[in-house]
Amino acid sequence: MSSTDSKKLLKNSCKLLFLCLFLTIKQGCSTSIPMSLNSVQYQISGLSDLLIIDNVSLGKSAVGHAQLNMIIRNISEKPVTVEVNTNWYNKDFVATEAPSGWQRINLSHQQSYVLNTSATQLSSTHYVVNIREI
Amino acid sequence: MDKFLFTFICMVTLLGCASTKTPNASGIETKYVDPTLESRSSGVGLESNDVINMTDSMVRSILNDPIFVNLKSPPRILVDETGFTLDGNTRINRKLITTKLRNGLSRAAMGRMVFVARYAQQAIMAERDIKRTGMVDRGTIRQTEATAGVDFKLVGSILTTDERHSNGLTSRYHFINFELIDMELGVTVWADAYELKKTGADDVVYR
Repeated sequence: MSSTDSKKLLKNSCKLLFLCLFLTIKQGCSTSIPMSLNSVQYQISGLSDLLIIDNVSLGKSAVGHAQLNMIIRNISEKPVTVEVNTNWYNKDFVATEAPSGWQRINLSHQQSYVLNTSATQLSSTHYVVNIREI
Repeated sequence: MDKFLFTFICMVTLLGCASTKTPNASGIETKYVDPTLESRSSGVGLESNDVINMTDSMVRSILNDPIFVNLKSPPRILVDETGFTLDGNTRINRKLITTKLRNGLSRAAMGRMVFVARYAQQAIMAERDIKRTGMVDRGTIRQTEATAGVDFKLVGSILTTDERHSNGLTSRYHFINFELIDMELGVTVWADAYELKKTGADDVVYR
């Protein structure tokens, strides 16, 4: 192997190493968290620092539909206005009904709100709650 | 030569006046907006997000009420604007609320309740008449002696109260009441309400 060839090989190896390093760093910096069933998704980062979700329970309504109860507490020192909606799915993460409307909740500092929402189909067994700040 | 020059100037002037590809380029561009989001106007009336959230809340409330669970056949329900009154300062198309509610209920109920199309009664009667006179055939499903009677009718009202503040702002409290009435016995079998209060400049014209 001539010295020119070895230089070329070294150059290409460096390029490859740099690319690998770049991709690894990019992957490490990625903030997207996969959505999971029975979870609360904050649509604005930083909202999770203002609110605590507590006492989550998934029961049944009087007609047998899934009924979600949770306490949303404002742990910040300022009033927070959020909107909450619920999407209902079956166990395979297939949407079973139209998403609920966005319910507005005004929380003064340290105030709690009991969110109580029901599905409209018997096939709705799992939920994803979305919270966005106004 | 002068004629040629004049024609050339006219053509250049006309080309300059030609419209651009963007409609209303000099004005504000039309945009689609999410109807579930709060309106950017500062009005205190009912807006699209209120109508969507209110009707969704009522659909969930009706479908989770045990009153309809043990019935032998799906109840016939009439949801139209005839029993829905506006008793306040808010200007809103009542038909918008009742149609959205009927649409949401119809989609979510999936046969658990049926909706009487009294708003189309005239068209239904005309069709029945031409079937019975033999002008058209009987259709493919069935013939009935009469059209559907109503088991339950949705009634309701939009009630408001206004407060005027010294700084020129107005607050409006809305209480939107919904009830289902048993149309044989004459009693209320389900009731729920949607409440909201808004403060703003009240300079928006709702049409």
